[in-house]
Amino acid sequence: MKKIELLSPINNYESLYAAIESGANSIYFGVEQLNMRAVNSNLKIKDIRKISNICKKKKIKKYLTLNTIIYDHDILLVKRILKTCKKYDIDGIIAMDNFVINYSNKLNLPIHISTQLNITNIESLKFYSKYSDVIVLSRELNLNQIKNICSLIKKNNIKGFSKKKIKIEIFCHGSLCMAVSGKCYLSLHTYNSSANRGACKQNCRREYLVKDYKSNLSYKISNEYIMSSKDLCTINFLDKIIDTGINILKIEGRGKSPEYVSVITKCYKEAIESIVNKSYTQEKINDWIYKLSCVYNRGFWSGYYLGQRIGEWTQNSGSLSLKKKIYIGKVIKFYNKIKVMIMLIQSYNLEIFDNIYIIGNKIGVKETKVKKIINKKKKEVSEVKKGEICSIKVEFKVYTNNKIYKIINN
Amino acid sequence: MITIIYKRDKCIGCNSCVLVCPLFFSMSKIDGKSVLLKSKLKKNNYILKNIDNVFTRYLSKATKICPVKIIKIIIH
Repeated sequence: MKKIELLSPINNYESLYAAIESGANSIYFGVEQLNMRAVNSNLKIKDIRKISNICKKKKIKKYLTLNTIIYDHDILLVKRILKTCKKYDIDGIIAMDNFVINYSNKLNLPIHISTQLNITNIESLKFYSKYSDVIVLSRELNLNQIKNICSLIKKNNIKGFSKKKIKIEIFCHGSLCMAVSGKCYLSLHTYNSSANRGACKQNCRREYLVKDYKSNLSYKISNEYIMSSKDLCTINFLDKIIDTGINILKIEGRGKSPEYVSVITKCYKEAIESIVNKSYTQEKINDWIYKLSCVYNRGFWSGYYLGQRIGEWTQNSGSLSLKKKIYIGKVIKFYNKIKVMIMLIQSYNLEIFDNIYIIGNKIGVKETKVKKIINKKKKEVSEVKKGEICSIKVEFKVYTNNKIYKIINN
Repeated sequence: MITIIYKRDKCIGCNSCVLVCPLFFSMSKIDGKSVLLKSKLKKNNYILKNIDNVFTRYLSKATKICPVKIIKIIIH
């Protein structure tokens, strides 16, 4: 069986380390304002070098997304970003604009054709294969269509820009758009805030009334958020997905938190490994689905992959996650030899047997259970409150100023 | 008098303020973000002071149209 690459989203260094620790084979990120998460993008051009170096050390691939609409005033910035990518060995550029594709070709930077370009058939794939090495297929295809495209690539031996066989990438988990892969103008028309410049205001995620002007009556639409699609989850039929012949499984979520990246990556990594060593069981699937539903989600469905009728809408606004995290404090000192960390509680409290996340630079996301709390007077206690200092034992290395969150039921 | 406060680091370079207020804003070809002309940088904000009140309506178009709401005007 060929190797499947798991591609995780990152938006800061915490999620980068979370992805690496959870077993991602590659990561993708955007910089400055030219990516589809421009509004909550924390990374700048100068971060390309740092991220690239970290990934090289950890031996994973790194891709940059540069897939917004590009205007004339963006041209110099695009060139600067791409030259920096070339300089620091970024493994690929996820793009949709022809200028970005063309300029990357000039620099000999591999191109991933973004899902924004909606590749849905073998002929348009052939067209883009002249300029790219990876094609992200449209999210609206079903498994038979994907299988057909993959087998035609094999049969016709379609090669990419670098003369190697073209690779196919598809989304395996994360939010779905009610419009065809991001081609939506709702946000632009209502707020002048373009989704295609990474500033989507997510009108589709809200609840709406239909108003009859004649009678002045309003109708709630069957208690559903009729434009808010549930989230894509494929872990329960991942064997069928891999069977189609795809090469890269991509996780959506550059706008999400580090623990989201950690949990999703870990579950899909385990699932891929189970499929490879033939231990993919219903019991494991149930366990993964429980874990996946503990982080941000709008409820799960299989997207369009199984060819179901269009539309499974969420019943709620926001997340349906079973668990949530609350900030309680930070690490102020760590003794590596005895693996004890001193922490300051800045809000709420910490109780014995609480599950906590420790999130930060270099460690990503670590989860642990508090088995013993020692307070300032070196006494063992069952609870520490806001403003107090305490020490707890952990099984891994942490760093000063790592943030500590308590995991509670939602 | 009017003061404009512009939080440039959050600009997504959509060009909207330049379309409605070309007298005060222009796109930078260097980093693709909007520039508040003749302004001074003070603690991450670009500030332009002492603008005549006749520009109130004109400038409020920019504050309204900005998708990330980073243009503020203060009328003294």
